[in-house]
Order: sequence, then C-alpha cells, then structure tokens
Amino acid sequence: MHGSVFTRLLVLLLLFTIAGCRESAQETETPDDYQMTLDVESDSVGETTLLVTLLNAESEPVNDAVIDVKGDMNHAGMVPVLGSSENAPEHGVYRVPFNWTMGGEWILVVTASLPDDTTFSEEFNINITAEDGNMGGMDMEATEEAESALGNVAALAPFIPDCVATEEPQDGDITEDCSIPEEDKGGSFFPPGGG
Amino acid sequence: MSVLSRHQIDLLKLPIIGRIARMRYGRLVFQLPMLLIALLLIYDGFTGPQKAAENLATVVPWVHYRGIIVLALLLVGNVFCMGCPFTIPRTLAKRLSTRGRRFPRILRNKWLAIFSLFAIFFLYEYLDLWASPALTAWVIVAYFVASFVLEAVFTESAFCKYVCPLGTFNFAYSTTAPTQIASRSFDICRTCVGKECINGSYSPDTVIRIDQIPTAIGETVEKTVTHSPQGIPGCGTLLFVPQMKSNMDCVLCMDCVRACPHDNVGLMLRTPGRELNEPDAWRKTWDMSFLVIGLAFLGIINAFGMVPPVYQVMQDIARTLGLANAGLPDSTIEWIVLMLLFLFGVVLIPGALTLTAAYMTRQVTRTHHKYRQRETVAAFAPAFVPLGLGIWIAHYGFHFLIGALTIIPVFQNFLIDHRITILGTAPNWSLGGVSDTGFVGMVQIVALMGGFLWSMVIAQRIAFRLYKRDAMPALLPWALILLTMVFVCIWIFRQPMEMRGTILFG
Repeated sequence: MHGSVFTRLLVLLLLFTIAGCRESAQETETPDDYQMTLDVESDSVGETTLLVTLLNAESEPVNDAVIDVKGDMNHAGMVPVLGSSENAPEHGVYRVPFNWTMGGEWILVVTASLPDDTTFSEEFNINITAEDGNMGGMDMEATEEAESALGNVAALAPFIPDCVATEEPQDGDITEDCSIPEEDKGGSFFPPGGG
Repeated sequence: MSVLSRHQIDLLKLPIIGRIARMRYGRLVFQLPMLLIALLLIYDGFTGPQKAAENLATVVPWVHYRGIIVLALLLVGNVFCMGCPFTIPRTLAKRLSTRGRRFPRILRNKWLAIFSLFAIFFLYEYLDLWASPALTAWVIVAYFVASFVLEAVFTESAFCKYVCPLGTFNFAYSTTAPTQIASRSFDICRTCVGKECINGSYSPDTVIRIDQIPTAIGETVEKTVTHSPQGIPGCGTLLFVPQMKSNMDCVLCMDCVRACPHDNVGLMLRTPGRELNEPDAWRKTWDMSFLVIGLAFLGIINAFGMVPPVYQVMQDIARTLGLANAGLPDSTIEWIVLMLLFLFGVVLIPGALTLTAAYMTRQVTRTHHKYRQRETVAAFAPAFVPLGLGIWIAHYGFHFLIGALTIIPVFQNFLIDHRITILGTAPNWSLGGVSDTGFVGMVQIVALMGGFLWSMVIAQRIAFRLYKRDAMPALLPWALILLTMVFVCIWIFRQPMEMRGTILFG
C-alpha cells in the first residue's frame, strides 16, 4: 500500500517535471535592452506589410537583425502564415510582407535574431476585418454570374469534354474556342472569383 | 417489437469487429485509446502553448473530433459513445456507490440534457473555448468528474442518458445511422426468463438458473444461465432490446450483447434513418421534440457566431438596450447579449415557429380535436433531424476539411517540446487541409441540400400518413420552416469567417 502511494507520487512528480521542462515553457521575451513594436499597413483580409521597429535601450534603431513572423489565428485548424524581413531596414523599421488569409483575431509572434545569436520574440494580437475572404468557399456570387451569363460556358468547363462555343454567335457565325483558361479548369464546380 | 432482425446483416458476425465487440472487455479496446487521447489533451491543454493553433487540446476536439463524429454518426452510428473514455471510471464509481438510487423521476427526461447542450454551446461562445487550450482541458476534466459522480450516486447511467451534452448530440443524430442494436430472434426473447439484456448477469453471489426454453416443435430445451460477480451489467440507459425501435439513448456499449445468455443480440444494418419514418420510435413528449428541433437551430446559431454580422448584431443589441452606456464591463454586456441571442435563436424562435406550424396544420386539416398540439409537433419533429445533421456537417466539415492535417505539425511541436525528434526537428506548419475553397463550399452545399431534401421527404411522409388528402396544406408550414432554415444557413456559410474573442461594446 505505502509502496503504491509512493509510486503514484513519484509518477506525479515526474509528470510535473516533464511539464516544467517543456521547451515552450521557457520564455524568450524581449530583453530589457531592446524594444520591439509592430504596425500593420492594412487590417483587412489580403496582402499587407508588417512594420516591425526594433530599438535598443538607448532608443537607437537596430538594423542588423533578422525578423521572422509567424501568424496564427486564435482558433485551431488554420495554417499559420509565415513572413520574414526581406530588404534592409530603415531606421530600425523592418518591412515584412504578409497575408491576412482570414478575418478575425490573429496572434503574431515576431522573432528577432541578432548577429550575436541573441534571439527573442514578442507576441502581438491583431484584429483583422473580413472584407474579401471566403468562409467555406461557397463562391455564390460567381455562381450567380455563371448562371445568368448565357455565354459563360467556361463555368461548366470541368463537365464539358470537348470544344464548345464560348462566344455569342454573331451574324450567324459560331466561334469555337477550345483553349479554356487555366483558372477555369480543375475540380471546382464553382468558378474561382473574388468574394 | 422492432422488425429489424429477421433478415438483416448482423455486424457482430463479422470476424474481427464482432469478436472484439462481444469480448467481455471488448469495449475497452475502443475506450483505452480514447482515454489516452483524453489524458494527452488534458496534459497539453494545461502545460502546452496556450495558442489554440499549436495545442492538441484545441486542435483535436474542435477540428478533428467534431468533423469526424458527425460523419461517423451518419455513416456508422454512435461510435464515440461506444469508445467514450469518460465512463471508464464507472466500475470504481459503482464500487463506491452506496445504495444506488434511481435518478429523480422529475429529471428522467431530456430537459437536463437540453440545458447542458445549451450551456456548453453558450460557454463555447462566451468563454471562447475554441481559443483556449486550458479551458478546453477543464471541460474534459469536468466530463470525467460529472460522469464519475453520477455513476457513483445513481444505479443507471444517468450521466449518459440525462446529462451528457456530447451523448445527447450523438443520440439525436444516431437516429440517421445505418445500424441499430436488435434481437436476432423474437421467439428467444419472448421465452427468455431473466431478460439479462436489461437486468444484466451480475450477481454478488453466483446463481445458476436453469431455464426451460420452448422450441418451435413444442418441446423444451434446458438452458443454463449463470449470474455471478463476473457478470455483465445490463443496459445502463435501460433499453430493452426486443422493444428497441430507435438509436436514441443507445451508447453501443454492447453490454446487452455480452449479457444475453442466448447470444441473441446483434448490431444490425438497417436503412439509414429508418426510425425517422417510424412514428412509434419517437416519444411524443415536448422534451424529445424540442431536443431535435432545438439542435437544428443551435447549429444555425453556432455557425452564425463565426461570421462578421454577428458582431454587428451584438453591438446593435447592446446599443438598443442601452447596455453600452450603462457602465457595465464588456464581458458582462457580452454575456447578456449572447444569452439573448441564444434564447431567441435556440428557444423562442424555434418554439414559436413550430408551435405556430402545428397550430396551422391542425387548423387547415381540421384535426385540432384529433391531434393535440404536442402530438403534432412530435409527429413532425423527426423531420428536423436530417437538416440539423446537414447543418452540423456543413459547419464541422468545413473546419475539418481545411485543417485536417494541422494535427501533424501540432503533434510534431508537442514531441519537439519534449525533446523527441522522431517526427522531425521542426514542425511542418505548412500542412493544413483542403485549400480549394470551391470544393469545401460544394461539400457544404451537398450537406445542406442533402439534409434539406431528406427532411422534406420525411415531412411529406408524415403529412401523408396523418392527413391523407390534406397532406399538402398540412406540410406547408413545416416546409416553409425547413426552407427558411436552409436559406439562412446558405447565407451564413457564404459569409467570410471571422472569429473574434474580444468584442468591444463601448
């Protein structure tokens, strides 16, 4: 009995130790001698540029870091968006091309890597408005266009095995065009299109 | 009596699955992996990164479990309840149980389960469970605790039958499943003495009973039936196999299969959703009707909670009620506004619509003396099941399709966090799921329209069965409700997704 209790306590202690040793439990916040801020050019769905400003303790720009950004949404099941600073910074401001793939709350982890192997990260929460995104891909506007446009046979491209008329007949002539655009091919019933 | 068994295919006669299911501890084969997963989720939820996208506790339940369960219910049956890990401690709970009282009679209905469904979905929105690994882990812990306590206090599986929101959801939609527990031979059930399928074969002392079983040719054969401490408990949800006409309340624990001394219980294939067309399969009570109708509307509200218009609606409600100027904190305002949304969307609107439809049906068919309001609602309630399932499939299927592979980098990250690099030294965060939004949209349309059409077929059959030549006018109010629901859903799923944990009302 005592051995059993001791064994259980030992297992619990081991679990706590393992949990405490998790690498994610090791904080890597910005050291006191640096300060990092983040601005965004656009807070709507779509491509944008992140502006990461890195200053030292004397508020002087730090221009020799490499900035990496990992953006996750606040819910599970979304592929994170990754970005890195490409061009040389100006006055400590690093420009990172980025893409808000969906509206909602984003959690950006900005990691700065310095030449002396110092690495630190900051987390920023940003709200992005959904203007052009699709939730489930139900591109109904494009569907309505496809249904209303008599000559829009390209919408049915996946189901048409042979060349068909793709232009309205004019003066009795029927123009055949077998070169269906690449973007209209594929397995999607609904033709690709915006919002 | 159920008419399933005579010439149906019994899945328990399949070589591997049947053998495992009939084994004494066969259910553990399914439960133990689920238990390990649940413990892993609790561990990662409390100790891992607190970002939903990087934690198993949020990825597994809110992406994978939800997406898989709705398909499993439609294609197989209530397999999650079969493998439910929350009831594993029940044996210990039963040992701790004192006199083992029955669940209070006033609570022996679905109202408590409906309330728990309402509560879990409300908390999902209010506490942003989808964004919090730690809170999700607490929910899992709460399930274990609640199941254990109720098993210890009450004789029957009160948690499963009357409380568990997951189980209640599964019960409702397992009514569409292509499988059902049923007797292989009614003659054997008719002559069975002990009814072990419901009474069990457990006894604190070994008791041997010799039954005289009559045969078809007028003779009798002796059958030795042993009850012992190694016996099997009877059905925890108190279902009597020969009278089962529905999957409602069946957790597929297979205790009836193992307890039956005559090997007379099988898991039969059936026409999917067969019981939706069998009026005797449904209790004509308000709780049962509201369960399946309310669940369908809850699906709409749950989906609505993830699109931009909901935030505008919430802010408009707060402004209209003067909450924004009342000096209340945003969290309190959000609670009030969400509660109003839920009450209207899940209780008042469906209640008003169905009561009005039932009234109109009774008026146009002049059957207000023949069928009461409750009976009319109960008659048409099964018609809401397929559309409700379609709504949940469209929603959960979306999350599953676009994020099915995200579990790989999350699991890689979990292992790397513990310095285990067998799956790589860096997570492959590029793994997601189906990137073709057109395809995902098509899946949603198929789910919605398939559910709607199936619901309409069921509603039409109900109308013809009850109202004969007046079937079409009787059907019309219900058809309008179903049609409105599917249009609302299509509009919702057209919206871009935008999930915010913080709503400002100032």
